[in-house]
Amino acid sequence: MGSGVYSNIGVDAVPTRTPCMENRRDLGAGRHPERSMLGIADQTVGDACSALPISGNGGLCQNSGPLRQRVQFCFLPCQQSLCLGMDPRAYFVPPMGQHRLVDRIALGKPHRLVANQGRGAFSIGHRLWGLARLVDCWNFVGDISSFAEARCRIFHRSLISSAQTLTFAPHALDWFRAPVLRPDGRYHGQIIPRLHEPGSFSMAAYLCGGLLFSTAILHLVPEVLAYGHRTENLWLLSGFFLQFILEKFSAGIEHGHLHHEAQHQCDHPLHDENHPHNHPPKDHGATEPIHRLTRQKSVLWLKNARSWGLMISLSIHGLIEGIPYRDLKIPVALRYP
Amino acid sequence: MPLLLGIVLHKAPTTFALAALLLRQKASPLMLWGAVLWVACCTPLGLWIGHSLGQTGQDNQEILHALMALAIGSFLQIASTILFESSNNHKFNWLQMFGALLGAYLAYFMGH
Repeated sequence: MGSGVYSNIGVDAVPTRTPCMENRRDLGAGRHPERSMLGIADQTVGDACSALPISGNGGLCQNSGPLRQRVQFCFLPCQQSLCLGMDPRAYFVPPMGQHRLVDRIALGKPHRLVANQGRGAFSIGHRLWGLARLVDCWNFVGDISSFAEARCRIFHRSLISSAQTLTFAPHALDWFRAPVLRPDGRYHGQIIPRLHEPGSFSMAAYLCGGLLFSTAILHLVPEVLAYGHRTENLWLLSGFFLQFILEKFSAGIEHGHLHHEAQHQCDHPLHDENHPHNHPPKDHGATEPIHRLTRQKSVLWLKNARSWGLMISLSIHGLIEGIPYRDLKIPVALRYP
Repeated sequence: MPLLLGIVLHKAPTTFALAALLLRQKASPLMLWGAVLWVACCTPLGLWIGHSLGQTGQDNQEILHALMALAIGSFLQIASTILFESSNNHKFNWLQMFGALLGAYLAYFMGH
């Protein structure tokens, strides 16, 4: 072994024989230098470092401080290479497709090194990869004393990741995103429940529910009961059940309910309702009122009793819920006697 | 102010759902906008009714208070429906908890 390894990695290192090398020779390191990483294949890094009899040229792996674990992680291949008589600063060439070691270190994630499988480890891609990682290693955590630089890079990564979160997270911008109607007719909105997750509401709905309930309990109910009529509580109860009945007519649209359509996600063209070879409507979800509403044709909209029931119930609902605003100018002493 | 915020926040998904329903049925734009405008005009109409009832004499006060009690009962039903139906299989939802408590906070500290 020897010269092949160093020329592949691209580091001019002077091979020095170490006692570890003789220990590892039975693992096939001498005969197959490209498989020399198999020696500490599946051990975790800490175990490997503690198990190794030699810790390099001292400066790299024996530092103390908060970066110790990470540095050990990073330089495990160096220790391996040291066992093989290589320069410990020569960087380990990981298999293609593995997670980028430096990035994982920068994100503070624990890293479990997997064995280099040997096959294709010395291809051109791996050489380039190894060179790039080498540069990263030297720039990044190669100098162990540059803890501040590593912290800066961690901060930078966290900034980037938070920006990515804001960009791609479905929840973060829910309030400001316009609802989208998909071309197949399914509704993909954020303010009303998202249909791909049935029953999930967004922040606006939660806030709305909390606001309405708290306002009613804290302010409106005491105010109404303080008027002193006998039948106010009866009207309160009847309003509750009136809304309960209206909800049956409007299929829960006044809460923004459309989530029963989530089960109707069949994209087959034959299941489209306006397809010329239309089959009779399927049975799934037929008991849901929203399905009974959505299954009808648009030409029948004005002739259908259900659509009229929907519109009338929505009108009554809207009329009723506008009424409590009339006392915006009532003095506070009258409001809370 | 919290009441207004709650009503507006709960009117928006109503209108979205109605428009989505009509669009799903491939309704004509005239029908769509007519329905949406009609539903949108209902709440100001109710406000005007309540206001004009409040401006008139004492005879109408009882009717007004009865209508207010009706409205408040429907508020309770709507809010409880929103809060309870949105809980997915009784799993603990931090967003829901935060939103509902924020609403309670606003309702308590911002007054009526």
